[in-house]
Amino acid sequence: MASTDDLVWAEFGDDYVVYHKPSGKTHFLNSATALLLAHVLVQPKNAVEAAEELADREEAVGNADFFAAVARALAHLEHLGLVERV
Amino acid sequence: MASRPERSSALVRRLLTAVVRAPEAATTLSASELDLALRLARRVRLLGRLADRLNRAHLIDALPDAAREQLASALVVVHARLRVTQWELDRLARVLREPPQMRVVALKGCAYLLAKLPNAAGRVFADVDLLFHERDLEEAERRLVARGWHGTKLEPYDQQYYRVWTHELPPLVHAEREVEADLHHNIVPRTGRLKPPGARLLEDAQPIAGESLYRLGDRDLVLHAMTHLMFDSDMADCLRDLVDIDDLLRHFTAADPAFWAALWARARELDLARPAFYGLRYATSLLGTPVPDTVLRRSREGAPPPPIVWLMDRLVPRALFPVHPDAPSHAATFARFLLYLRSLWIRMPPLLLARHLIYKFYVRRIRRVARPPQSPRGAPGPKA
Amino acid sequence: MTASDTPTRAVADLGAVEFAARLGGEGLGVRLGPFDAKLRSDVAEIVAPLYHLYRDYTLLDGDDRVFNLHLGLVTVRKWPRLANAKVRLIVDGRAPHDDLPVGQALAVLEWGLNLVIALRAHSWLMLHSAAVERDNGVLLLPAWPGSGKTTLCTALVHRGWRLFSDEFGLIRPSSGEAFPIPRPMPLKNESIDVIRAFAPDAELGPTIPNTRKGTIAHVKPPTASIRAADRSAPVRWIVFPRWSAGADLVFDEMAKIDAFMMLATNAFNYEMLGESAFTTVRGLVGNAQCFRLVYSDLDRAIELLNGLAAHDGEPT
Repeated sequence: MASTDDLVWAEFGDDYVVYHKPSGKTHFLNSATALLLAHVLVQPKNAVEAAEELADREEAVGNADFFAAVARALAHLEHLGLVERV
Repeated sequence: MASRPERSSALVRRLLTAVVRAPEAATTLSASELDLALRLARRVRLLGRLADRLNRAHLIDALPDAAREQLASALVVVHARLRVTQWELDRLARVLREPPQMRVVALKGCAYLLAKLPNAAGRVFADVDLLFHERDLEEAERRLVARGWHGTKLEPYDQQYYRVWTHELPPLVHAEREVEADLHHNIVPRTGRLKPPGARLLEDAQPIAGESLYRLGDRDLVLHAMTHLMFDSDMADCLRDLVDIDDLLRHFTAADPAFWAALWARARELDLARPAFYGLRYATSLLGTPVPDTVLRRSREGAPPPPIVWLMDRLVPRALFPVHPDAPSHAATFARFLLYLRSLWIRMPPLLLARHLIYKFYVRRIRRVARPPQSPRGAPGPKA
Repeated sequence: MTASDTPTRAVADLGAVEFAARLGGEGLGVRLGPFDAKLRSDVAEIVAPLYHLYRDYTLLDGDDRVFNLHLGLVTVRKWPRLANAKVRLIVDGRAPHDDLPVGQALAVLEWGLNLVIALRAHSWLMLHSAAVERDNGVLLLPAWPGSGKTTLCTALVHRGWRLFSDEFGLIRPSSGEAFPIPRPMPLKNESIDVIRAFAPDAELGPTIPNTRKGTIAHVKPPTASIRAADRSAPVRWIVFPRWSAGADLVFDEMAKIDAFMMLATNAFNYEMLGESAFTTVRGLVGNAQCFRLVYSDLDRAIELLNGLAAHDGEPT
């Protein structure tokens, strides 16, 4: 599980750039994915839980598309090596 | 101006052995000697090591600006290579530790890194070398390819050469990164003269705390370093590999004085007596490694006939140490050529060697392949 | 003996004869911004142009010093003499690339210096960029094909800006400041005539035809820029230029996120520097004003960029 210490952030309005120290890679994230990443890193959770919490904040409760989007974003972050399944 | 009477090759050896044995010596050199020492260290991939040692001793700031800049730059390269290698090992280990279980042994630089041995510090890491049971190689390759690694493009002949005749699969590279992973089932080519039992090396490998990868035992690590230098390369500018041997021997014998006792027996057991003889001989003569006389005497059992020893004594230093950058040496060029021939000879039986040379001649003369233009960006920086 | 003990001499103080002797013999020591270089060459044809282009540079006397780089040019002749003579670049005893026709020797030397700097100067974040300075603020002009950055840069330094570099934006990660490395600026093809017209007082080296980049001529940096090569400055503006035939002048602010991405891909050694590259680019983009420029008329582009400095950033 990647920790918050592994990431360095730059924020420009709604756009985020994050540097992942272990891989040396720089990633450009939109605000939704950035939020998800920061959220997931705080405490391990599965895709459904993460989506539920975010849905609460983003007022997208019960939206199936939203859940699917979160699952995809998590898979993408996992592929980048920024998060890891535990 | 440096005093003229010293021959350039003697000057090169004096400066390099000085900064290898005692990096602080860099602060006692004259400016022109320091200038040359930096150029030489860079050539033989020891600039990072020098920079690391000077940095730890807080001596970099005392040096002239131009030296500080080069050492600071070398540290950046060291750190970048370390990061890249650690990440690659992390990604490889994740895939390879999935069931069904297989034992994977990290070799050379990666072993030093994971086992936190002193010669990992300041190292400019390159490829990742991993050792497997022969029976696990296919599965390992299959798994990695399924997860985004691919073979580097090779001619069909080279593919066959790799798979059938050497101990390696063609190197694998992940689609999004540049580090090559070499998967081995032994530490020497299958077709070569030495026949160390790969399976024994694997069985006797030991786990590394906190890692899923294994490493060779202490003596096997040293013997592999000796074998790699003396039987797996043409030794050109490979002083770094001899420094590895020196570093490892000093480290292991300081921790365990009984280390020497079993070293020679293990060399015999693994059919590595010849590289061990050479390794000990050149570590003592060129770098002053403190090897007990008893060990040296026993190691003569692994020596080739005296005329060969005599010849190697003349060739090896001329290859390991770099040529003075401003003073070309015919002797060194010739010595390196002979050792290049030797490196082919020891890897392949005569018939195969003949076939190989004919094929390479054909490729070079009949089918010229254009070399890509040199570009500073993305150049696989050999320079620190 | 430190630099402050002895008065610094310029290359011109050597005189042509001694210059030629050093270059062809023990080597010429010369300071190129933060890099102390030792240059050797046995190519007779470039002695005079090199003396002209380098005459203001700080001379480094003596052998008892540490150099950042050693570069050599060696003539390689096949028999019969004169036909097909080539020149070989030598860095620390090795040739990093194929030999090239001897007529291109000057270009080979300049590109060789770029190559060695790009491979070794990792205590800097190296942007592939021109950089010029005015009122203690640096204007970066990052490069990509079609940017025309060298032409713009040459024009700017002949209109009051100080030359930092036409090729390397050297940024110190610890401070975010840019450092000068003023060097002869290689103009290509039509740009040579454009600059001759724009700045008749510009001093050019010989015209070199048939290089891999076409016809090249080097512009000597203004003397004042070379003399000030030890003065760094913070980056105030980042302008991404694009020359486009017949285009109207366009000058827009660029979104910081885009500027970040452009700089990160533009830098020679972004990945090498890792975290410090990230934080340095973050600082550059955060502290400077970032613009996009499209132009076809050099005069108008220069006028606009001059206006940047005058109004401290507001596009007029």
